[in-house]
Amino acid sequence: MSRALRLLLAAAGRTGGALVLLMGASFVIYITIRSAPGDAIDAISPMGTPPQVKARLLAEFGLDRDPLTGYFAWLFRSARGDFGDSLVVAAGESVMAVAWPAFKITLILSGLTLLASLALALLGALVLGRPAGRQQLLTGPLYVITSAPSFVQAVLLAQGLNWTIHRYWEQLNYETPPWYPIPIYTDSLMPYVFAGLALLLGDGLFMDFFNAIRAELEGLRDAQFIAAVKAKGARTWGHIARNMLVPLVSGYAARLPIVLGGVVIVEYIFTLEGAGYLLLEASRERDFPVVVGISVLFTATVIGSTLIADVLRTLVDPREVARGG
Amino acid sequence: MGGRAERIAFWGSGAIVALVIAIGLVSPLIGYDPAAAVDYEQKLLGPGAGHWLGTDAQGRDVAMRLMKGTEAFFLPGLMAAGIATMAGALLGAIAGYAEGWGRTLVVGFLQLVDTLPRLIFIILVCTILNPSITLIAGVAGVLFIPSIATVIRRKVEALGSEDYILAHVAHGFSTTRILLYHILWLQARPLLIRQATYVFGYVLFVETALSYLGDYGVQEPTPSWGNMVAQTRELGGASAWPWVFPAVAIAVTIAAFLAFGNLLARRDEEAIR
Amino acid sequence: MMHRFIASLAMGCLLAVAASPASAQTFRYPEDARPSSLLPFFAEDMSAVRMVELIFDGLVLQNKRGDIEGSLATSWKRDPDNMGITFVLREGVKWHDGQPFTADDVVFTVKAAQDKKTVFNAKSKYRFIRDVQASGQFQVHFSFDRPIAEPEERFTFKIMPKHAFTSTTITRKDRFGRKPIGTGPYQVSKFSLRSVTLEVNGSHWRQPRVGQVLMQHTPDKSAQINLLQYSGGKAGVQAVIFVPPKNIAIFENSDSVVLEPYHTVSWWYMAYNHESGALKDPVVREAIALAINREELLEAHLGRGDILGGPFTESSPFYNFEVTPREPDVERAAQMLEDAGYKMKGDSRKKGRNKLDFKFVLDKELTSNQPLFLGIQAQLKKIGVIVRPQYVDHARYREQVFTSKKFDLTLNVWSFKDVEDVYPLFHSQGVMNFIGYNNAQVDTLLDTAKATRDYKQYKEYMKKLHAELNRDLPYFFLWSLDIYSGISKRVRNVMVSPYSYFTFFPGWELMQ
Repeated sequence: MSRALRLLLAAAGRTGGALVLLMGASFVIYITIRSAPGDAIDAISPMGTPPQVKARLLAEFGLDRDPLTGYFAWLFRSARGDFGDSLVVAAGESVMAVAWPAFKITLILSGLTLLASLALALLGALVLGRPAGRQQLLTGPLYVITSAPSFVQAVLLAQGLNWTIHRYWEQLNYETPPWYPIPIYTDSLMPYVFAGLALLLGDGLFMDFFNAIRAELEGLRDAQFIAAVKAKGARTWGHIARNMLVPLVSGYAARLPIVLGGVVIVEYIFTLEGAGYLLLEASRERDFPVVVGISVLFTATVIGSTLIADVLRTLVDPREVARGG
Repeated sequence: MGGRAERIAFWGSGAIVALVIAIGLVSPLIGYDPAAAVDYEQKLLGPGAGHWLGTDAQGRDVAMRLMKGTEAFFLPGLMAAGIATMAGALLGAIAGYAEGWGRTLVVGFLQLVDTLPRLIFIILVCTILNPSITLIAGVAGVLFIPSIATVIRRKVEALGSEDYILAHVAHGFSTTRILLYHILWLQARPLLIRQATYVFGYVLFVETALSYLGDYGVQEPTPSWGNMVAQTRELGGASAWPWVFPAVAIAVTIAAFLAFGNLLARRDEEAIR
Repeated sequence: MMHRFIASLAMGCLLAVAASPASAQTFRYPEDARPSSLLPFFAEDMSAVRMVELIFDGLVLQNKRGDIEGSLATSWKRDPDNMGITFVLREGVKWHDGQPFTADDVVFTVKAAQDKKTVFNAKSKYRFIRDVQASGQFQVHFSFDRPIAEPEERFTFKIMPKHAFTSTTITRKDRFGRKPIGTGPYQVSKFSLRSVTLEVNGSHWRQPRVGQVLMQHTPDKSAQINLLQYSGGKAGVQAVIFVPPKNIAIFENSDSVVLEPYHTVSWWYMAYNHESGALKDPVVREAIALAINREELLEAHLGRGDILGGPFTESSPFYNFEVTPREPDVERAAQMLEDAGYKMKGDSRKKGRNKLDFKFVLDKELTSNQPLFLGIQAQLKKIGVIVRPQYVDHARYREQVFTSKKFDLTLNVWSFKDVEDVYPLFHSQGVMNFIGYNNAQVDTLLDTAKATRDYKQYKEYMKKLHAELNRDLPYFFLWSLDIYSGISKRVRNVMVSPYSYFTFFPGWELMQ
């Protein structure tokens, strides 16, 4: 009972801490964006707009308040779920109505990519087992390939596919093959698949996962309690699986921010309608409510995933509670 | 541990790292005026005698730009690694050793910085200020402080109760000396090496990625591996030479730095033990 | 979305074959920029202008021969004193939401445009209307502030529905910008972040043939070209609005794509900031102009075009054929600077406090500017003039160059809807004179030209202006380009209209 209570308290404390962090981060982001030179009015108003007209537009867009007052007004409203309206990118639309669909695409894309990466790494670690000399030589080239930034992978993939089409286009009867990675219509899933592939192959993600899992597995195989289970003649798989769960989940959560970083540029290359595209467009056009909204979504995801990993660790390993934040 | 494969990896990656460092050091001494390099008569040549790696759409020598491109990340990378390791080690030591509100303040700051999504925050900063690679590296350095501080803090916390450290305290060594020399230098050195090379690799990644996006990174005519890769957009398949070499250079350099950092740290760990 | 996503990851290419439901009757085209608003007043980027052309109608339109033809109006009658005009409107026209179109909508559109609180770029185009009155449901009368010879050609502006707004004050935040209701041949069915889908308006009197139009923001020009090149397939596009000159060769002998030339009134220039240091000195401006080899730049980066000496293109009635653009002459340029006292110090020239070391501000949105700049930089270097680039994003460019004037040199393009009106650009009081240009002779020419009612005289003044601007170099005028659109041969009856591109789209047909 007391343990459950302690766990609950610890979880609540962490959540509270996460909210405070989110507030702090949103403050940093808001102030940063508002101090940009050139605003949405400059981006859209005609040259030679008289100052009084500009002042009226600024008031209309809510840009006449100083950043600090603006922030608290923003915080107060967003606490009730109102993140304001887009100024330029989708003028008049509420920020979340614009940002959320885009963010969902980014989140699903990076989430699934990470899952695929995890599955591959786990499979690799189980199949390859302990590293032996020759295998290590094999992992060398793999290491170099997977260390490249995902945007380099994406460029190589896109250019390679274009080149292939160039080469064999006539044989293809002058028809763009359906797997063409940058099609114009929005219904195709192929750009997502290729973007996922670039993310999977890049940023050192895969080898990092692979090495971490292999080390974890080795550690478990050598662990005394596994030896004890073995000595009893019972099967060890269940124990290993249970003990692998936590490092896998926390490893997943820890790597999510890395993938979210890579996805911004990969989206740009494969022309996806994701949060990265939206962020770049909105900051270009000084649509600051959208920029703040999307940055806060990114931050919340990072904080949220760390929180989940923390809570999970606490559940499995009670010592974490005592250790504290 | 060790083995032949690891030795090969160590020396192989070490050679590449040494090469990049050597080029990074030598390159500023070589005179090259990017503003005067345009030569329309020489555009889009393949690799050959005059131009080892060919020329780009402006008729500029790819090999030369590839070499000068190291300047875009070499010093900034060192700077970011310096900021991140020094500030990270210091704050980590404080967070692990100090008590009271000083510790709370430091921990709060570290957690706050840690929650900012790195690439996205760098892009935001670049929209506000004139994007320059020094600025980008500075921000990247600051953003990496928490991850280094956390590692150091764990180490300090773990060592703080070890007998020999307590013995040093009993001998009357100053706290600063114990922290800086006995804990950070003697015990946490491998950790710092690993983290520093990681930060260096990250700066290379950010520099190339932002320069690729075009709006935020190193601006033409100053060469950078990223803005060289970005020429794919302009070329539309006309020639691959201007961007394939920099793309490969990015991949190999990042891989080499990460691998070398890891292996060096592991050797150091064994040496400490 | 979610489960389809997983399935596709698992099954890869197989599934994608099935997942291409786009109808064969869809006309697809990529755009360089995202249209920010489809509300006609705020349709300022060209991608929005093109979409608005499909969604809305004006009272009249300019037909293929360049004559004015009825659109929402079927006939009109000028007042005898040329101080007004009466339009008879088409009956039975419905807005996309089913409401009937009446004279009230026309009155509303003009009132909204003239509302002081509605702020937009093209506001001055409505200034000549003194009053507008509906007489009955299908007749509307305009009166002017002065006599106008051929007034009907000023009524191509788009008409908006009164019932979609609560007041004549229209702001940029109005959701109408994303959910527009027009009377035009196409209506918006989906406006997502980077694409807009239009469905045909079956009841439109021009009987459009193509069922669906899909625009997608594809900033990567080489991706656009690839898409057109393989346009036979399901994934391709049927047109690329602007084919960059260096890609024209791909399509010159193509089986599947035709290059459609179309005319736009636009020219490129390099602006000098006349308020900054050495650029006040005409010798420096002249030397810079002589050092830049426009032919070479044009050939290396942009292909075909006409080198210009002044602010008018060769097809313009104001073009002065007696003005010959400068031939580049590096030696003379260097000598001029030397003679005027600008001596080499280090790697640049200097005279007293004036150093020939300039800040060259570039808008990142105009991607073709970057390679051009590199060429200009190398050419100026040869006469000891240093230019340092500063690349800024669009919002900041407008702030920095147009508003606070923190630049020495910049590259840009002006586009005009029909006839070049350069008064705002070069008059010392002009609203778009961001270079701080002040030439008494030019001011006089512009003022007298504005006051005159005789078109022939006006033309003569403009020709004089052309010569004077070529001499005095407020800008260094660069060139106007031959513009080609690439269109798939599966599209028939193609006729591209200048500026708004899609005016004749209802006649286009898409073959299987």
